[in-house]
Amino acid sequence: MLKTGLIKEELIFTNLEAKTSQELFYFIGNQLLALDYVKSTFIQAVIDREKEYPTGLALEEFNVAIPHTDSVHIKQPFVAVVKNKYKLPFVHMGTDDHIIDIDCFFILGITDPNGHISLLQTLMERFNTPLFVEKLKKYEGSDLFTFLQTSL
Amino acid sequence: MKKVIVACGSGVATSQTVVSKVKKILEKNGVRANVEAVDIKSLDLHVKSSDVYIAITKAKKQYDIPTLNGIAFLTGMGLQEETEKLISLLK
Repeated sequence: MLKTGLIKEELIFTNLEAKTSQELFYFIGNQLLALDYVKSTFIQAVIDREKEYPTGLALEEFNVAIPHTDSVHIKQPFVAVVKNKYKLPFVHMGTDDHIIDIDCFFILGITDPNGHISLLQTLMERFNTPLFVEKLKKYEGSDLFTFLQTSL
Repeated sequence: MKKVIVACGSGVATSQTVVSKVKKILEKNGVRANVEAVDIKSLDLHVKSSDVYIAITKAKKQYDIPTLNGIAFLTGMGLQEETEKLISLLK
């Protein structure tokens, strides 16, 4: 189980209609700013970091991205879960030219590196579990929140 | 004891996760080694005192020590192959 409260209903975004990754980062970033999770520098920082160190991951069941940036831009730790209506092209981690279409985003607001090892580990384990991914793809809104809260 | 270093972009998320995973794998296989997450900005310095480099970012240059694919340890995709390489390098 993760630290309770890291998954919040206000940070579950489904049926988003962003046409580009930039648009997605601005939309989510502004929500995070309004809810006081991040500083105003966060949006640009996460966009820049994604360019330098991309976070797309092609997995057995689906493609996911885990955008994150330095903790100086974070006010309180969070995990924002984003499902866009359209798959968005992202660069695969560890490359600068391997493009994959992302199904789902887990934007990570990390403040304490050691405290979040288990978060990313848990996520990675679940991402390789077919039943988890099936439900992650299926559920929207509050159903997705309830599902994630009970299965992470 | 041999030393393994892991570096990612920020040092806050992926490298720490990979270190923890690699430690578990080595323990399971009875291989002893130091496994450390390092800041990518000081990678050159760390490489000099290490035996294996596990990379999560695209290598900007070639290093003198064996380099393994860190993404495999993060996602589990291709993990078996990287695990075998790591163990043979540390034996």
